[in-house]
Amino acid sequence: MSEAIVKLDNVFVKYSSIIALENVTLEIEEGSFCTVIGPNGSGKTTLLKCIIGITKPSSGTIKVFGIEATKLGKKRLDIGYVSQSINIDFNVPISVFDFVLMGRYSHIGMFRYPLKEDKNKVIEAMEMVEIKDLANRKLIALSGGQKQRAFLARALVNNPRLLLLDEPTTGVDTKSTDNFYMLLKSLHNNGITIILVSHDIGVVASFSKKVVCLNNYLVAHDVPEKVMNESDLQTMYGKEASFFHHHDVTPHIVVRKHDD
Amino acid sequence: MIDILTYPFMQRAFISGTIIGLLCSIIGIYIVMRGLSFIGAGISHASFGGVALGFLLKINPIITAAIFCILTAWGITIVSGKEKLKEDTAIGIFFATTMALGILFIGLTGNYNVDLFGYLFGSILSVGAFDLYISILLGLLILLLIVMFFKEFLFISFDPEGAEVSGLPVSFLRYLLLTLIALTIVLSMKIVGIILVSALLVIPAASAYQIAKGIRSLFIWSGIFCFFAVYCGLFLSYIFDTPSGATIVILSAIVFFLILLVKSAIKIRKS
Repeated sequence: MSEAIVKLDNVFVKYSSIIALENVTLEIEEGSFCTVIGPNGSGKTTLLKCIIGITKPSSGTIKVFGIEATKLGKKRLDIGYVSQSINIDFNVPISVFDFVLMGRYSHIGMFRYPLKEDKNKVIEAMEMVEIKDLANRKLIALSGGQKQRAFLARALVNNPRLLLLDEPTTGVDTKSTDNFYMLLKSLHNNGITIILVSHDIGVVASFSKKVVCLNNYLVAHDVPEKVMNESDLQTMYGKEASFFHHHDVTPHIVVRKHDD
Repeated sequence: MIDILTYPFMQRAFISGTIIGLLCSIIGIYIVMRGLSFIGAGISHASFGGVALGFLLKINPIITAAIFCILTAWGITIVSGKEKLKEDTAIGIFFATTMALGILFIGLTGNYNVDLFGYLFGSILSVGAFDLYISILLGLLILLLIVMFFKEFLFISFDPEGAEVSGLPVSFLRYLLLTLIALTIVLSMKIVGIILVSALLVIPAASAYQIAKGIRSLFIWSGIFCFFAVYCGLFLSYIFDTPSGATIVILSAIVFFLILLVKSAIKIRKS
């Protein structure tokens, strides 16, 4: 069995009176593709922020690469993070190249300006996600799917060992979403450990090796076949939740049961 | 026309204007990008309290205004970050309190003949030799810090969350940027005036946003608009004897609305 790249022990996170994470103990092995599912407000984003060390737990320990998450220092660069990007002003006339280059800023360090090596890394990252030809395009001019790839390229620009993604396909059409997940799969095949927060249960079934069901506390975590049952689903989403079966065999999305 | 530059007070006003133009055009981009316009207005009004305290204590008002502005900028950030308070509410509270303190200090000095009007609305006659030295020294320091942290300021203004997860010390950078905004406001106060200084931080940058095709051109256009407004404003205020701050800001606004007008005309033509 591979070594744990992320290890949480009895982690509690409280925001004033709200408990975001309650007694979460979890190990994620190096090389795994792990999906975190759960309803809104279930602590999924908090979990990712704890792993990257910007949210400090109220109690418990979080270790990433064997080091306490808040003390990662330069090791933080081994983690790529694709956020929900809700706080970005897309009207800023930034090119895709400059946007991806931002991911190198921490690596470059303060008081310094990007060198040729940094620019090469940007080109490499854009090639990896197949958007090299969009380098000079403005971020605002990209489609939803292309934007997500630009965010992914920025997260990959330091060749991370661990990639965290927070609902990366929100607002992206189905075809682009499928392509995006295929891309994640190929990154995973190249050895990157992936932790993905998703509402898309389909991804869980087809890509993940491990599923973490979160509802502030850990409902279940295991291989998809063991976790994807109606009992765990209802613990997270309420008694009316159920799997919605398409004509294919994999359960696809969570819906409420109707009377008919 | 050039002979106006032979007057020492105009020379000082133009040198000071050059520093202001440079700083406001760069800092303005960060302000507009992060939506800090209102905090800029809050800080600039706080300088009134600082100026009045300077009059009361008989210290150069630039020094007391600098302290007041920096503390206000930090205060707004600390209060809105920790308490159950939105940032604009915190700004509203600080804004009014510092203005009230200013009025109180002026009342306490018991001398209403002080050159308060110049500070409020800006005057080309107001830049003394000592003010100019402070402007040059402080201006160079601010510029140096901007050059040092240029890319980091850009990142935290554009995508604070992305900057934080990438490992940048976002909190330190935010306080540093606010400090530089506060100091730029203080330097611009004498020529542009307390009431209008925040406009010079916002309007040229907002105009640049309308036409810039990339990050570099954003800063270049902002510089062009800012220098145009400051130089022409100073020149016109000398010729027509108008308050320099108002003249500069009105010129900025004319440029901004002209750009909007031309852009709309082009759009209509295309459709």
